[in-house]
Amino acid sequence: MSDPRREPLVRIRNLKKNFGTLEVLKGIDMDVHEGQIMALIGPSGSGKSTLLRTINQLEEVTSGEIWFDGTLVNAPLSHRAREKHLNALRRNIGMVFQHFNLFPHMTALENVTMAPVLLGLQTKDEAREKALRLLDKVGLGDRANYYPARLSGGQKQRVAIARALAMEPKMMLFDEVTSALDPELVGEVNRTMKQLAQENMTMLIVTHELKFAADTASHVVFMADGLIVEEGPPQQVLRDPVQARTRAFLQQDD
Amino acid sequence: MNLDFSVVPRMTDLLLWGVAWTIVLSVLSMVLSLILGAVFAVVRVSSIRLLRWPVQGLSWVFMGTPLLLQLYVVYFGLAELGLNLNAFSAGVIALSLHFAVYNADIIRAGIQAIDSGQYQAARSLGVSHVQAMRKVVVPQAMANVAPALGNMMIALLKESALVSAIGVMELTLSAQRAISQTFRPFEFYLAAAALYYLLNLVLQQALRLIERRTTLTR
Ligand SMILES: Nc1ncnc2c1ncn2[C@@H]1O[C@H](COP(=O)(O)OP(=O)(O)OP(=O)(O)O)[C@@H](O)[C@H]1O
Ligand SMILES: [Mg+2]
Repeated sequence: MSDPRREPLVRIRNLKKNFGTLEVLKGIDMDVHEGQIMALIGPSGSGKSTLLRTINQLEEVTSGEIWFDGTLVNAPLSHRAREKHLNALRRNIGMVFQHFNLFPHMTALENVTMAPVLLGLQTKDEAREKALRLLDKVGLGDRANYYPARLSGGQKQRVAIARALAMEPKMMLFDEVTSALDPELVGEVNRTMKQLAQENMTMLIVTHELKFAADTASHVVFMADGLIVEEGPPQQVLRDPVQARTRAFLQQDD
Repeated sequence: MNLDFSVVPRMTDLLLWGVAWTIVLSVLSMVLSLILGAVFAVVRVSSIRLLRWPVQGLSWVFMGTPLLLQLYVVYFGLAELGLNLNAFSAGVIALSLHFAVYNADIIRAGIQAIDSGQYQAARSLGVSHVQAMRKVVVPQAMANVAPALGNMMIALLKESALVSAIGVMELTLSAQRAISQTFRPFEFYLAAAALYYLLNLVLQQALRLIERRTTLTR
């Protein structure tokens, strides 16, 4: 799985992020290695989503460094150069959102094919074939021509995962992708993520589901108040935490 | 008053000619005003001031002055500057720009109402700002404000009558021609009004169809 001797895919150093006067990230150091399944847990407002969103620069950072695959993500560039740099970066980092954010005016299939076709990575036919394979993989081969309005929450989220995978990313970011779902729909999305984990996709997963983290993650990071409090293998962080802050959070959550 | 509508059929060819040109003029201006309106709207929500300001200026000029004067300026004014446009082109340009700035205002409100997650999802896939706007944000925004845009299109069809003032042989001018040949103003103005009304009925049906199709998909 992850080889600690290799350069990490993501390397974050002393990352700080303010919203106005509000300090949300207060100096994060974090590595994500290739093939690692990292679960990011912590109380509401601790900055988990913000951290995730700085990696693909949906959120700009205030200071510090983020490296992805050997390039400095937040390099100071002119507006033009930065746009190009970001587009290239984002092709390699898939993201799945809490509220799906499927494009409602496109079918499931069109949602998946849009970006690869727009970016000229695949012809329409190639993209279509590939999208059908991906939809099949997430169990929605028969829903390709449905509009999002006619899909359940779990189905929408699986389309969103297929849409991100269509870009063949090197890494996937998941931001509480099951927390907007009815409880009975959570399992199908979790299964899809587990399947990806088995295929050695590098994944960074923000989640409130500690059981899912324990089952799936190879590494767990606990954040509170904009800092990483504790990290390590799931058995250690979730069953036998060192920090009092982590213990308090885990007890509350039981 | 002594109305005699039997004179109207004698001028059928002239009036149909006018109807045809009103349709061509209006449809062309509608399409252009919607495309331009979408472009202006995207520029006006962008963060690039150098682009935003000229469009804002254009918007003030075209909203703050009468369409009739805009037609004169585009037709006669640009000719003074050596840019000779035929009356039809001048009419299309003035109508398109005039309605584009109104459409832009409507579409801009539509864009601002679209959940920012839509834009972010598109950008997270690596597509550019312009691509994300064109493929994801603007189509949804325009579908949401379709009724308001439809009203602008109905207004455009009626306001196209002003283009008669620079000599385009559309419905209003052809009615005036018919009057100068028959000296029956009331009959032909009423006939022209009825024809505009019919055209608008057709347009409303078309708009309703488009609206239904765009709402069916959600
Ligand atoms: N765009 C923004 N503008 C201002 N403040 C923001 C913005 N986004 C997040 N914040 C603030 O930053 C802090 C961290 O937010 P963030 O969404 O990263 O937390 P989180 O750990 O993901 O919480 P949750 O578990 O509730 O999703 C919160 O106090 C939030 O209110
Ligand atoms: Mg969050």
